Amino acid sequence: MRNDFRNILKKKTFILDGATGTNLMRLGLHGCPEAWALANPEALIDLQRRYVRAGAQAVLTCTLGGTRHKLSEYGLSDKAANMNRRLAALTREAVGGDVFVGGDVGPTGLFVEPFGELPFEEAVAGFAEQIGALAEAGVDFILIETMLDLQEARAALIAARETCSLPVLASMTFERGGHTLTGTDARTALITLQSLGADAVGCNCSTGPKEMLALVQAMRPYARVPIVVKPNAGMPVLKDCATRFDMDADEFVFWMRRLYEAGASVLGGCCGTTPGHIAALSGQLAGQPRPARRTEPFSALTSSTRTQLVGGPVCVVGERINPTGKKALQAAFKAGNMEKAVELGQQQQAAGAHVLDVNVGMAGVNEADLLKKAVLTLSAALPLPLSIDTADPSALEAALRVYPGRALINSIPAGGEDLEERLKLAKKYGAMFILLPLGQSIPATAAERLVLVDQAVTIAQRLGIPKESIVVDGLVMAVSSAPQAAVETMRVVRACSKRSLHTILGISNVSFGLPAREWLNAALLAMAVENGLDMAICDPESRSLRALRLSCDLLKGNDPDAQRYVAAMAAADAPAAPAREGVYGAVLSGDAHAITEHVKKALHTADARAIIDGEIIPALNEVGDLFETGAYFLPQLMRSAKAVQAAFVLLEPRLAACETKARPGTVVLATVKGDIHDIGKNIVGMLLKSHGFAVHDLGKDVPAQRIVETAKRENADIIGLSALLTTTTEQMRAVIALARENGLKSRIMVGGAAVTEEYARAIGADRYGKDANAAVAAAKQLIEAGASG
Amino acid sequence: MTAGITYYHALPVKPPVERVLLRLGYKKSSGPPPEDVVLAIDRFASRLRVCGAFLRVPITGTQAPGSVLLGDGTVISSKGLFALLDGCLEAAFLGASVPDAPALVAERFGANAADEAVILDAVAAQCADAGLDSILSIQGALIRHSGLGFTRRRFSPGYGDVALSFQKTIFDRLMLGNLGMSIDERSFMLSPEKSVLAVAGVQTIA
Repeated sequence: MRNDFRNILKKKTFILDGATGTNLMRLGLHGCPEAWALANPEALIDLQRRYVRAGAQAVLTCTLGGTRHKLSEYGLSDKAANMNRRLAALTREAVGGDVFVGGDVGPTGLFVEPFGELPFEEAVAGFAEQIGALAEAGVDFILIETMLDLQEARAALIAARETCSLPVLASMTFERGGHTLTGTDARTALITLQSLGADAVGCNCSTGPKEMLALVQAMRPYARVPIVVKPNAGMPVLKDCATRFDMDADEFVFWMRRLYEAGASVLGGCCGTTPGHIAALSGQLAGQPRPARRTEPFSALTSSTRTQLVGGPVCVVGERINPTGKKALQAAFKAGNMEKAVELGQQQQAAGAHVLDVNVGMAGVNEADLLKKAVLTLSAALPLPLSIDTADPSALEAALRVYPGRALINSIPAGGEDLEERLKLAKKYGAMFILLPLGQSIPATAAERLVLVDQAVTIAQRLGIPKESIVVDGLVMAVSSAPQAAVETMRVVRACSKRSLHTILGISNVSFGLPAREWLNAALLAMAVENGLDMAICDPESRSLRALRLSCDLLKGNDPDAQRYVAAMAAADAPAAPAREGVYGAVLSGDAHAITEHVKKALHTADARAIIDGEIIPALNEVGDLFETGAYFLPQLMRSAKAVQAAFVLLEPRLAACETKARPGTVVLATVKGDIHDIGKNIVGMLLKSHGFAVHDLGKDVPAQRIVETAKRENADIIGLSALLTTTTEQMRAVIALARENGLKSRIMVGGAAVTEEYARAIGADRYGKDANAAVAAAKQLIEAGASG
Repeated sequence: MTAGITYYHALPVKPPVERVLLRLGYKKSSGPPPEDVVLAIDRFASRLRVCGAFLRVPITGTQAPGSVLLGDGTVISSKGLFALLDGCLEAAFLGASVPDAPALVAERFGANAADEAVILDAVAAQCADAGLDSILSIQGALIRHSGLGFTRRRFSPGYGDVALSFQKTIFDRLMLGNLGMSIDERSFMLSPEKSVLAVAGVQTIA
């Protein structure tokens, strides 16, 4: 029966059943669907028999929420295996021996690391328990469906592969924008799951058949396995205060035919569909030939959110997440801190890297644990696919297992004793890999290297790994020590290209030990591209390599309409915006480093007060104007303030010597009692300081008494009060009353999300600041009014 | 799990960059936002952990005009919530919080990096909202298979006629102390400050 199933799937359409839950709901389903079905078996059996009569070739068990994690919501986790076995037996009883039974596996309701807290292995164990029970009870295949997170789908698929030999179909739920909840698009899901060994991949739930068309169209060119579609009966609509799926069977089948024509061949229904929908579907599409596959070979790496095709434009593998020679990164890795690695990844991404190589190898660390942590952190933080760079097989497996995409293994030595073991790892996790044509030593000639390549490729193909998964490293040696090295490397690249094998080079090795290395690196890249190079491991921030790569892509016809070349070069050639110079310019651009030098220079010709009044204050006013007009926003405002504070470090000690003018005023700032929100108050404080005010910041949740006492002691010109909530703004009134009772002459300025001009007036405040910039203007007005008054 | 409550200690969230920029005062008319700010938004979003909680409570009755009775004895008095929950079988209580945000923001301010502090603060605020979206997405996909769905809208205390004091009711029902959160009994302010609570309805899908 199982072989029949795989054979049918390969050749013809296959009709699944429709919704279970939405139909059982009409019969009284409430609470835990699995428990309800076991308590009301006749209702389930009746529904499933109606699906058989409607023409479904397979009926799914009522076990979508059957993992121990999901059942724990009802206190049933310990009964998970037993319930799955009993529900599978019920379905078999309902449909008999001539119809396939699919073991239905759905989400745990939790999020799996790296996107959530459920440890990956715990998720795998939960799915393995369920799938083991379903397999034991005799289901014919497993359908993993309604997955909102690619990593959870991977966990279920790995569990299925490790638990049984049943065919496994995997289906994701995409939201209206075409992405899953965790950001995976249809193509990326397909490539990842089919590489990992799913027998069919597709989409279910969330949308109707019409909206699934684009998903199937995105999958088809890359699908090597049948495509599954199980749409809802249309998009849910709100009618009479209730959500409805109201697509009737005729319209459903109209769109299902379109989906079939677009490439889907495993067809069923999800929420809102009924035996009537399945009867219409079966009547039209049962027994039809599977839509023709697109056969163009392709190679692709994936992250959870992105597909990177290999072949065509040169694919750059960023090499900088590697602790060798980087003390800061070594220290961070030893402390288990991944922030530096994320920062390096971001920089390389911004510079145009397509893939990030991750190497954590160094003495004194547990490489398996550290590499796993790095892969989890980087894959959650960055969209680029990862190249897992390690010589340690246990570290490699630990990383491949948790990587939420299709990784590149860097690397597998072709002449290594454990070649087959490593190839099996690549096969199990569906990874592409870099094949190093070396054994105990590095062969000097291309011919010797190619012998190793051919042997390894033969073994890989025997294990079921297609050529498209292999990337041969041409082995770049330093020309300073081996004059013929580059020539031999080019021969390897050219020969592999002719064998339809992808190639990669570690570019910068060629120039080791020589001056002006950039030229040699660029020349090697150009020569290699001409010989068919697909990937380059290099520093993506190298401008010359980037320009050269873009030029090569354009000249080889891999950049249609020169779009990427023009965009990159236009950005590089764009004239810089006319910059204001000196202290003024540094305030305007918020450059806290440059301003120090500018101030030092300015002090040769002007005193501190002149610099403040002539440069800093006018520049700050312009920054304020730019903020008001929307040309600047908050981070720029803060950067300018930061730059001014850096300038004040130099200027303040000199002010006393030339001072003829006091500071503009003294301000006591506080977030009122009962309120813990202080970001707004902190911003105001920073801006006031940059405008020269003396600021006493009392923090948050400050009692009225303390505010008033401080204002008195400091002889404050202004008390600035902040509050976020309507329930805490009343504390402002208390502070104002206490200040007046104590005879304070300080003027009072208020602000915060729940405060308005009217409210400020009502509680007797002197000014209201709608934002930080306005608060500074208000403070200046209050001081001026005080001086003139 | 405590009495039907699902706790999430790390929710996947992708705060919408445009909303973070909006919080920072960015206007589309200003042209493309600075690349370093966008990169910082991405970087901080990946650093912040978002936790949350979810609970479904049956609705046992309604009393016009504007009271909803829940199975656990809770009475919701709000015309807005009454309208939201009208025809629903259950109320869904949701909470999300970004526990590390206040300390990280303070640390950035302390390190004289106020520009990063304000970005971090804005990202954290959007992460809390995005946390609620994530909970509704995963729970929505699961309950749909039982013939149920969430209302399209959700209400948070402090908006419309839903009193801020209702935060205390949701807080208690979700037992948010289990996530390290607290609530001020007088001001109903949540701690950590980047926390958000909401109510949605659970209705039958016809």
